[in-house]
Amino acid sequence: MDLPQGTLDLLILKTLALGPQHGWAISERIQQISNDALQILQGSLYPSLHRLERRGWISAHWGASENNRRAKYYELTRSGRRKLEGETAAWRKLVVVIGQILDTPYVK
Amino acid sequence: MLNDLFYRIRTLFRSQAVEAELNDELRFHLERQVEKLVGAGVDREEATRQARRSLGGLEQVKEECRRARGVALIEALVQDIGYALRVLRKSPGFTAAVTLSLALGIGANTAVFSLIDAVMWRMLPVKNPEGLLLLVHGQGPTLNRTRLLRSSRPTPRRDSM
Repeated sequence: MDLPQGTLDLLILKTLALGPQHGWAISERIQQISNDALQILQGSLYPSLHRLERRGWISAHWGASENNRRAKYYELTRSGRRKLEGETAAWRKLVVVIGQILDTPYVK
Repeated sequence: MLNDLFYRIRTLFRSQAVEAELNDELRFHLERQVEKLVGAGVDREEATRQARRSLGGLEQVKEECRRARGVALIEALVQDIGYALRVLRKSPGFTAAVTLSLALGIGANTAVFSLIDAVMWRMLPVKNPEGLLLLVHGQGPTLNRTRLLRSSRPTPRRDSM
């Protein structure tokens, strides 16, 4: 399934709303929740993370991972939380609108 | 937007550290992915291959991350300037000649401009420059009396003098 652009950002923000995580855990979680339907090419995850960090919606710090190795943890910032809410609302509205268009019967 | 700017500035100044961090981050990801596959029974070599493949080309990912940081253009510019400086240092005669020419050219230009600016273009240090009158005392049929030449600014009313 090809995700529309910007959707990956939304998924990352949502995943981080549950708590700070490092890149690999984010990738695992998205795969898990979507029941493997979203096999996001893991390589596109990191550019997104860096871009989101640049925009200030997530912040990063290095810490010890579950197996005591150094990992880069990301967490949602306050403006990131606002962005998530805004984008979620926009997404839901989009789904409704597109659904309406697709459900419109053909005019004979 | 300010955050964005600070991030980019910080990235510029810490570029080596940022690169090292990117390496560490991706290496950690690969390690965890390999562990996961090995835990699922895949042999280590195959797991490594699979992990790299699922990440995508490592250099490609790094390049994408660099682009996402938004300083690619400036970093390229800084690199080019550094290279240019190194090359110039190797031929000091040429560098001296070029620097001298540029200095003379810019200096001469600035001098001429300053002169013209002060003489012609600047407003006179008077409170009401358009009210200045140039008195001319002349001879001849049209100048049998002292005429007043106003400055070139048009005035709203006509004076009969």
